[in-house]
Amino acid sequence: MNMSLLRVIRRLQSSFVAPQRPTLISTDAEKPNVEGREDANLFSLEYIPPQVQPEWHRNKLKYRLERMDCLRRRQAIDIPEFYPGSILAVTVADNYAPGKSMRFAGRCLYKDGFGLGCKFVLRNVIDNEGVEKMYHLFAPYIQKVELLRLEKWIDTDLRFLRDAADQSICEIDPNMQAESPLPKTEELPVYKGKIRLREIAMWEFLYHKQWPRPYNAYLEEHFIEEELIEREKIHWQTQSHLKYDICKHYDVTKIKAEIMDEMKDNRHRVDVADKKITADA
Amino acid sequence: MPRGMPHGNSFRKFGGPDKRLHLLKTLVNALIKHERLETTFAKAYETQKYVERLIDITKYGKSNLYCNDMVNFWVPEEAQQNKLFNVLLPRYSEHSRKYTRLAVLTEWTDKDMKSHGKMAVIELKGNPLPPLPVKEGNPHTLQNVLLAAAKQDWDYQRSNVKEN
Repeated sequence: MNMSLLRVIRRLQSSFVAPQRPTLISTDAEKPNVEGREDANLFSLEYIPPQVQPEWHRNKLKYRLERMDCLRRRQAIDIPEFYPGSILAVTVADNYAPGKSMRFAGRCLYKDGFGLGCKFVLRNVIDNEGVEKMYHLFAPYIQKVELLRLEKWIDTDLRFLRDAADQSICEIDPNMQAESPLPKTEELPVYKGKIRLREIAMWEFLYHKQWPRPYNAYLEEHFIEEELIEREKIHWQTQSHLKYDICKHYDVTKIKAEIMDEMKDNRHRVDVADKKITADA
Repeated sequence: MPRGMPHGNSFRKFGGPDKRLHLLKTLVNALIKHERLETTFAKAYETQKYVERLIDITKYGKSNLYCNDMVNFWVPEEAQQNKLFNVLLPRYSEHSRKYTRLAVLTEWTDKDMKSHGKMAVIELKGNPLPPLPVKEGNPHTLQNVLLAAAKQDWDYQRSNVKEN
């Protein structure tokens, strides 16, 4: 038999099936955001009003208006999601600076306050000199907020970093390249490391006395165990009743759901006012 | 401003935090047991807040850790706990805000005022006891006529919904 004819027959008999072209559709958009990392337009920690008692002393209209103003400001500039511990660079308008704007990079120490009063502090060490700057998050003089590295620590108040033995934690290069943050569909890893502090005589504040005690500070180095236990006892002698005083607890779960509904409506109103959509849609 | 003036603190002291919680605990337990109490106005006013918050917390369910802790502290007796979960919870499942009613007693003397202040009655709503002789408002005023009509409408609509 002819060889070429054999080849043709073999090819016809083979069980090979050409694979289908894969369909590349990303499924990221379908995943919902992780709880605690919601869209900042819908929910952010600064939208929760302070606990005021009695209940009729709360000025709910003021809270609503302030949240609306926050949303309008968020439409104007892009404010990234950040926590105490992450590294930011903020550009603000300054009449007396060259180029009429000034950029400052640093690690966020704490974030505090409700609504338009929300403020955060950045700390950087420049030429072995600690520099701290406080900014209001929704202030009109802020031109740009860049997120250089997204980090989340166990503590929400990192002011003990002022007394760190190794100051290089807060030493941030202003020309640092921004790292891409994790997508909001994934949960953020929480930093659980311990930072060594310098000797007690140099401390600005006795951190072992505050409650809850800072987790990320390595306090065990400076005290024997019994001293810390004694401190804890003193705290509970005066504050133990707060554990069961149910009227003084602040339950946020209900408020959070209400705020998210409200902000959805607000978003719609803002879009209608800006004529992005018609009122009926 | 006097030295003992409380600023932004809407709670009565009752002789310190520990004593205060102990007193409130007994009052809350008694109210859950008997459904109606006659005490001074100050104590009744404080218990009202705590009982309402406690019923709010029980709505989280027995499996909730926070709910479990708080109920075990405030209502340690098992009989009262069962009443709280099996009787009061279904009764107030549709109520949203006020579970209690507070009425001030009108008759008091100067001697009473010096010793303990005015007296009041606090009761859980929907209790099986005979109703209090609370003075009703005039039903023939315009507002009350309109309110009664609105209530009638509301009841009629709800009964229709249930039938469907």
